[in-house]
Amino acid sequence: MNKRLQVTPARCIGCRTCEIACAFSHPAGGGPGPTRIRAYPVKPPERGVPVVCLQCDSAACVRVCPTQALVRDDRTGAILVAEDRCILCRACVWACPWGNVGYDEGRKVIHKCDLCAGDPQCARYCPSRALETFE
Amino acid sequence: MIVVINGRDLHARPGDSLLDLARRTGIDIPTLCHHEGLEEWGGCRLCLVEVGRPGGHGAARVVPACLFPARDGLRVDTDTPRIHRLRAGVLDLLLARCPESDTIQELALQYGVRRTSFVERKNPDKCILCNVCVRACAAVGANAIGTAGRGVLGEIALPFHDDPAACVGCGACALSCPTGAIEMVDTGFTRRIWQRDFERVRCSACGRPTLTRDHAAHLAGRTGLSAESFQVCDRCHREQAGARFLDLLGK
Amino acid sequence: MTRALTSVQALGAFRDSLVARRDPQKPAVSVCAGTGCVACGALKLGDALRQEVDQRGLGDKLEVRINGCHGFCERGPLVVCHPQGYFYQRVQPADVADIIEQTVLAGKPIERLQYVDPVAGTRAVRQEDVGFYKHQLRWLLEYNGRIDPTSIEDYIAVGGYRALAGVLGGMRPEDVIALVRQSGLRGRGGGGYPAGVKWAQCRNAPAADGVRYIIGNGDEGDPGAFMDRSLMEGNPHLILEGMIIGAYAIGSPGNPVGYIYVRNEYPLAVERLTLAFQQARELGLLGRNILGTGFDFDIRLNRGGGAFVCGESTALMASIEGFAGQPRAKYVHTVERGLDNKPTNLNNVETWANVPLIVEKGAAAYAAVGTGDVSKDPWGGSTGTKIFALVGKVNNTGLVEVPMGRTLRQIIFDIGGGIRDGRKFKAVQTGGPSGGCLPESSLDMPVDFDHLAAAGSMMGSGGMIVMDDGTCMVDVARYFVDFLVEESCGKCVPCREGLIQMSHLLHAVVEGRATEATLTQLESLSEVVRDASLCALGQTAPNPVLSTLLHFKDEYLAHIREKRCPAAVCQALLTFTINEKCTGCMVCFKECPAKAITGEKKKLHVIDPAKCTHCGVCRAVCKLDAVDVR
Ligand SMILES: Cc1cc2nc3c(=O)[nH]c(=O)nc-3n(C[C@H](O)[C@H](O)[C@H](O)COP(=O)(O)O)c2cc1C
Ligand code: SF4
Ligand code: SF4
Ligand code: SF4
Ligand code: FES
Ligand code: FES
Repeated sequence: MNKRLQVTPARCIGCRTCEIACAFSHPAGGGPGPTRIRAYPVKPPERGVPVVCLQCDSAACVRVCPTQALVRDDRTGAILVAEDRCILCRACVWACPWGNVGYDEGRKVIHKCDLCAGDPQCARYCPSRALETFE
Repeated sequence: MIVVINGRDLHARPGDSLLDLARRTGIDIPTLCHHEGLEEWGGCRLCLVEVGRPGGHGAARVVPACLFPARDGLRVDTDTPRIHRLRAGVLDLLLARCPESDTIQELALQYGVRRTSFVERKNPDKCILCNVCVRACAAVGANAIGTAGRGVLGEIALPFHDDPAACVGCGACALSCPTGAIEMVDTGFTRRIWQRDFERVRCSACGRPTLTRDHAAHLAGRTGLSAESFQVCDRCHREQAGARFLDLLGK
Repeated sequence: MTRALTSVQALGAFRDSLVARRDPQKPAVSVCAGTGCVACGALKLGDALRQEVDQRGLGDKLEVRINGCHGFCERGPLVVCHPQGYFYQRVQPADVADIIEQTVLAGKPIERLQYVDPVAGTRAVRQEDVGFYKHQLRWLLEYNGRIDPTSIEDYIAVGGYRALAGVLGGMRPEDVIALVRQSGLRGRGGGGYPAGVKWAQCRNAPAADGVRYIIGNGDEGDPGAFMDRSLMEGNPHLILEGMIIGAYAIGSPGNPVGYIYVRNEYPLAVERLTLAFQQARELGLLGRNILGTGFDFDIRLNRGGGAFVCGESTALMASIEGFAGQPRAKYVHTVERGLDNKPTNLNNVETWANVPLIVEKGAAAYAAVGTGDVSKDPWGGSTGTKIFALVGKVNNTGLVEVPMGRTLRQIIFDIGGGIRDGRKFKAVQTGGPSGGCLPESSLDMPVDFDHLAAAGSMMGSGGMIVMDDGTCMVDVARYFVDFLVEESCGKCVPCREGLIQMSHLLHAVVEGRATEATLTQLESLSEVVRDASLCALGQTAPNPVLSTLLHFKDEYLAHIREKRCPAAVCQALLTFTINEKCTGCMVCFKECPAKAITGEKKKLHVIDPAKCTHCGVCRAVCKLDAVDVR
């Protein structure tokens, strides 16, 4: 099922469950992997703002990549990293104005939100519906 | 467009090479010089397959799958005795060139070649001249390395063998090399690659080493972002960018 | 001076005026100024002639002409005196006075300068009496010895650009292609692909922006080959005319520009072609609105990248684009996507030079010369003539042009005058470094594309190296493989790594370190190199090995089993012994660097085979021929 991810920052309570959900659904080397979503705490009151890839229409990361390693998945609309096309030049990491493309130094891979193949896990576990999906 | 690979009817997409089609449908074809993100090279000859038309006359042709376009009605065999023989021969030759490369040793073993039957190269390195690094560097936009010399004497080198001026120390070449032939050593705030020591930027936020200074400048040029953007490491960039996002939302 | 010719008729009129101004009976001395003759002093000879003519005030009575290569370079500098057609060879400046007095003024031939057949001992008065020329059919080279390659007027006077005028004046492009197809013309650069078929493919290839490229391949990297060179230097307009006709037939309205790619080592060809283009532009035969017919085509010259492989079509195109001259494996034909990914028609310069002849003679008359039947299918035979560079152990070496289908025997014995020094023929290698070696039993084989290929060799660009019984065939294979090791561009593994290993194996044979397993390994490696290589260089590289293994296997076996080189060539396998002619002079004793010779004054010396390093010094220093080698 293809679900779209909608963020409503006003509802975020800064619990960072989304980060855990993301890390566990993208395991790396046997453990949880680097998280693609980041819930920034905003104080006071205890609130947060989830920042995650917006899958921009004209994405800076896609435009800067010299090897077309960032490809939009027609089905989910997510921009995915084709690791076998990537030469690790890391242009995309800095090109994203919101910091949504990351680099895993240890495993030498670029990572970003992939919308969990159409079923974003962060939204599934978000207790306050700051992250929601709809068909 | 239907291509018959090993007797299976497969649907090819326009623009598919035989390798694209085979990989998508789970048919294994070994490759060395092929890199999904780079222009095809066609030099390692490991991906050779036999093609012929059904009912066509003459012997089947041997072609590299990475370069050969899928065509309707084409009949392809990826694992005939002849192909096995040719791949084993190519790997035998590569093993003589790079006896110490585990990439080559493993592949060769798959084709029954344990030791090369040829004369091993003197002072061998691990480079198989697949040109992946040169193509990666060109994609980076640095064009710092190329092939010097011809034939067996060819090697991947800097211009005039010793001019690392164009290299930005990004390491894309070393990270893409299928045999790990390019040496890159990071020690603290220094990266050594291509006979040159590169200074790595100290992240202005967390103090950890990040991109080399030249790489940062190169990326600034390519992305059109300010030089300051690259004074922070990828992680701090993320934090700062997140904070900007927050500002934008007006909290 | 010259004005652009603005119509087909104007060219005819211009030719008529040129012919009218020329007197065929006027004495003329033609000096060959091809590269071979120039190397032997032809330019000095030309200067001396002109000086003598000036001194004697004969300027109006006698013309001194400088021509392109006549093909018999070995006998250069060559001179032909008109109108009698007296043929002189190895002419020196000191002969100038005699030539003027005896031949030009008195009309008598000079015996001393004539060619004497080394076998029959007969004297040749005219060029056509020389065995070397008598058996040739010089269609392409006909004017090399008659016109001044720097004069477009010379070319036009003998009918040059008439074919182009005929085409532009009344043929549709499709008709030209049909004509070339029916003529059976096949590519002279190596593959023998029918030119008409290639042209049609290129013309029909979709070209969105209307751009199709025409290229002439003048890279000629084969060692010992110089046929393209002599055409480019000796008759550049013939190639140019062919290319203009081809451009018209193939069509490139979007960007009417072609290229000619000339080997970097051919400065004279570059100079002559550049001049020819300039002259043709001035006369309105090249550039915009050619002969006022509205047809545009211009040509640029590219200098080669300097490597043998740069002559290969895709490497050549990469080189013109400014990249390294390395082949690209393209499974979309270059006629569809070649230079700059545009449809591109590449032909060898000799192929192009045939085009005006075909237009002038007509397809049927052209196809009447040669082998097979091309009336239905241009693959059906080999038509027209082919220029070969005949070199090696023959009496007459040089450029020979013969109808397709002449036998090797006719070329080597009738034209080449047989084997030098009365030795025996052993093999002939055709097709350049990656051609095959053919044995005596192949001598009566007709030389054409298909027979050569069937015999395990190839036409290539037309190299022909004759070997005598003093040649070791294993060493020949080693030589060519070593050449190819150096020329392999290194892009693909089988060619780069396979050739060096082939070289190691062959070195083991010639050095007596091989076993019979070496031959099996050579054979299986040959299969890998042939079938797995990226371009034709690698794909054909095993030919010298496979063909010698096929025809001369006993020689390989002698090296392996008996550790003996039957031709006594392979140094490591030679045995040096001293025979009874030895007087004990002690010269060899003193010179032997290995101290392998023992002996006393006036006593027979002895070589210790265990110490001997086969250097051959003893044999070289012995004045009494007392050292035997076996
Ligand atoms: C290694 C190599 C070298 C070649 N060198 C030449 C050359 O010097 N001149 C040439 O005309 N063709 C050369 N060829 C053949 C060209 O690739 C091409 O087939 C030819 O120019 C096409 O013209 P044609 O059809 O008129 O023969 C070479 C091919 C190979 C594989
Ligand atoms: S790091 Fe990889 S994905 Fe990112 S821009 Fe470079 S090649 Fe593309
Ligand atoms: S490290 Fe240097 S040579 Fe390697 S890809 Fe980066 S710029 Fe090119
Ligand atoms: S260094 Fe590595 S990537 Fe570069 S040519 Fe050699 S093997 Fe290929
Ligand atoms: S993958 Fe190297 S030739 Fe195809
Ligand atoms: S150069 Fe004079 S005959 Fe060839």
